[in-house]
Amino acid sequence: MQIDSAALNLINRFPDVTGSIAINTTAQNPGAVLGQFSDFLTEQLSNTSQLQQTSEQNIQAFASGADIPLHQVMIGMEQAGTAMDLMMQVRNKLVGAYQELSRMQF
Amino acid sequence: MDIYNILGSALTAQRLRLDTVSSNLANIQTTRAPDGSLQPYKRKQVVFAPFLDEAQQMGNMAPSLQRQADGSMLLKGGIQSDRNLIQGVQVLEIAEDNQTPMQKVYDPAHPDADKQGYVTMPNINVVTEMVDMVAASRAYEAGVTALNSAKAMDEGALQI
Repeated sequence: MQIDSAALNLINRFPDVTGSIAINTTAQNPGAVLGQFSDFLTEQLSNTSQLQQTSEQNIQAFASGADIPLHQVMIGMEQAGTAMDLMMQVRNKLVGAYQELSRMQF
Repeated sequence: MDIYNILGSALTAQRLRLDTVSSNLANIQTTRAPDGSLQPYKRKQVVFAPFLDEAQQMGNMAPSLQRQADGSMLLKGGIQSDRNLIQGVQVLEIAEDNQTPMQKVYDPAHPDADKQGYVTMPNINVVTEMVDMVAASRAYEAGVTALNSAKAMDEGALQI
């Protein structure tokens, strides 16, 4: 997770790389609400952790005998796993971008 | 439209159908109501209906990015009405079967026999219930296969 926070800080220091869309829309249409890429990333991180918490609650409830169908528990586990895999891929891409930027020679 | 929610609702519906079949099979000779009054068990059936919950309808109305004529991107709230046609399934009710006639069995020694000696037994045919059971379990397997396909698609997308 240290690498993730470093990548997030990097994104915040280079806003123009991903903020050009926001500049265009807010200048010409104040109704647009597209924010920074870092906000989007933070929201996706919280979504992922929310999915994992839900999955854990489902497993505990099912193990203690609540009336939760087994397929719902499995689907929750699968969604949490897929979200985690997606987060790992995003992390890989961010780290790759950071490394490519750090390889630039002046 | 969330494919996991739709298929999850399908699995739940088929599970409930299997529960109804089990209830029918268990009560195949039930001649009284739970409070002891003389009311034979009537065969139960599930009634399905399509279903799209509020969250999914709101999701279909989620805003999306659209490119304008001058090249900028505009965030627009969209009501994609045809997306709402992709629906899950819900069980509307568990209805009693009033069409099939009740079976009359001649057994004067039975405590619930009427004056002619006939006992009104539930209108449950074991073979019909077994066919329903097989159909429900095959539909459940079909839902599981579709879920695995969706999972494989997602895993493939993560390899991009």
